[in-house]
Amino acid sequence: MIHSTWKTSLIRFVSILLLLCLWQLGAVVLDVQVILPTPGATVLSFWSIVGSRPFSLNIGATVIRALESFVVIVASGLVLGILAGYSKSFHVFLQPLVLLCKATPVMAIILLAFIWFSSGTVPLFSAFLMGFPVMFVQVERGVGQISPHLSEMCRLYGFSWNLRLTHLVVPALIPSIVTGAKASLSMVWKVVIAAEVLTVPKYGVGSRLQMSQVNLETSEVLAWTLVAILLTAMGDLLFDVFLMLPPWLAKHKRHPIQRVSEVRNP
Amino acid sequence: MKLLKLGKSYSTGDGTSLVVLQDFSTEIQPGTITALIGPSGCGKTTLLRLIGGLEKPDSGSVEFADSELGPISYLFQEPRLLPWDDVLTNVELVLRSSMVEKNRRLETAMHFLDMVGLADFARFKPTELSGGMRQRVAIARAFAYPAKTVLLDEPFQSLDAVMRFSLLKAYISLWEKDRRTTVYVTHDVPEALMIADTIARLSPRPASVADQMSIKIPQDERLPGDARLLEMQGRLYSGMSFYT
Repeated sequence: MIHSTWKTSLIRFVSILLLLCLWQLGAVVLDVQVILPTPGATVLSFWSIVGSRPFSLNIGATVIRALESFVVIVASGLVLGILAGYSKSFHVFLQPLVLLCKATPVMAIILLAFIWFSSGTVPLFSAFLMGFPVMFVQVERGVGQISPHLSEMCRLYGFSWNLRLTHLVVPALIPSIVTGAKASLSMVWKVVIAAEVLTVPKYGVGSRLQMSQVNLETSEVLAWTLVAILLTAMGDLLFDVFLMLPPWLAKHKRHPIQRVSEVRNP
Repeated sequence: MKLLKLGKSYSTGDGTSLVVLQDFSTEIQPGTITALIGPSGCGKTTLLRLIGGLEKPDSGSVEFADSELGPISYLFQEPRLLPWDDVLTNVELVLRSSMVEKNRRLETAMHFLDMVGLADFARFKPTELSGGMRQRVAIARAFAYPAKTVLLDEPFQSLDAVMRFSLLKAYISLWEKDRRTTVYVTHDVPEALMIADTIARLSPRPASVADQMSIKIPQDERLPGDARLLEMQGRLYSGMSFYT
C-alpha cells in the first residue's frame, strides 16, 4: 500500500502525540515526579542541561569517544575483513576472536575493561569490541560476493593488486561497508553511553545519566536520555548526508560529452 | 599457435570424471582469425580458457609463435565491465601496465572507443548503455590491451542478429588495422563464416577437429547470402547434422 507523504506524516504525528498523552496521563495518575516526571518537567530539565556550562564538554566527550571507536572499527573491520575474505586460514584464525566478541555480554566487557583500563578508555575499548564483529562480518561476506567473472577479467588483463583493490574490491564492497558502518555506528553510541554510565568518567552523557539517577533527578535522567537519542539520530542523519555526497558531486560535474571532447581535443 | 595433445577433464558430483578434451591438437596461423564451431558442451570454452591460461591442461601444451608471445585479450560471453567505472575508465584501466602517461592512456582508450562508435558515451556508466553497446566497450577494451592474441568466447550470443552483425563488423574493422591472432569460439555457423579465415568444426565431447576449411574471401567483402559462403555453410551444417 502506498501512502502519500502528508498522510504518512499525519500518522506519525498522531502516533507521537498518543505516546506523549499516555506519558502525561501516567505521570498525572502516579503523581510522583521521582518515578515518572511529566513531559513538561522533562522538557524543562532538557533546556536546563542544554544551557548549563559543561553541556558541550559532556556531549563533546561522548561524541569524541564514539567517533574514535567508529573510525577504529571501520578501518580494522575493512582491512581484516578483506584479508579474511581472501584467506581461509586468516578467517579461521580470527574466528575465535569474532565469536568471543559476538557472544560476550556487553556489560561483562565493560566491567572487565574497567578493571584493565582508565574510565575514559573503557567506552572506546568496549565499543570497539562490540562494533568490530558487525563491520568485520559484513566486509568478509562482501568479499565472498565479489563477482568471480570480474575478478577473472582483472586477472586476465593484468591488473596490479593496487588496481584490483581500488577498482574492484573496494567499489564492490561499498554496500557491505555502508551496512556494516551504519550498524556499528548505532551500536557504538549505545555501548559508549552504557560504558560511561558504569565507569563515570569526568565528562560524558553516560556519566550525567548516572549522576542524575544517583541524585534521583528522574526528569534529568529522561532529559539526558533524550540527548542520547538525539545524538544517535544526528549520527544516522550525518551518515546519510555523507553517503549522498559522492552522487551529488558526480551529478554536479561538467557534462560528460564536454569532458570527452576535452580528452579528444586537448 | 600450436595446441599439442591437450587433455582436460573435470570431476563431477558423483565421483566420476568428465573428459572434455583428450589429445586435442591443431595449429592456428599467426595473424589470422580461426573460428572453432561445435555443439554446446563440446569443450570450445575449455579450449579458450587453456589457451588464455585461465586453466591449466591435465596434459599437453599450448605453444605460441614468437609473434604471439605476450599478454592475451579475452572477450567473454558477458561484457564483464566494472559497473562503477565509466566506459573510458574501463578501457583505460587495461593500459595502466603498459603506459605510464595518463593523457596517452586516455587518448588511446578514446581512439578505440571511437573505432567502435562509442566516443560520445565515454563518460557513461556501463549500466546506462544497451547490451550491444556494452559489448562494443568490451571489444574496444580487448583491442586497447596490448595483446598479441585475442580470444573470443561467443561474445555476441545474447544479442539479436542485427546487433551481432554490427558487432562482427566492428571487430573486423579493428582487426584489419591490427591483425592479431584471433581464436573465435561460436556455435553459430553464419557468424563464423562472416569473420574467420579458417573454420575448424569440432566433434562432440571429447572434442577433436572433425573438419577444417579456409575462407579466401576478404572479410570486408563477405555478405550474408554470398553463394560461396552458402556452399561452405551447407558443408558445415551437413557435418553437424549428427549433433542433434
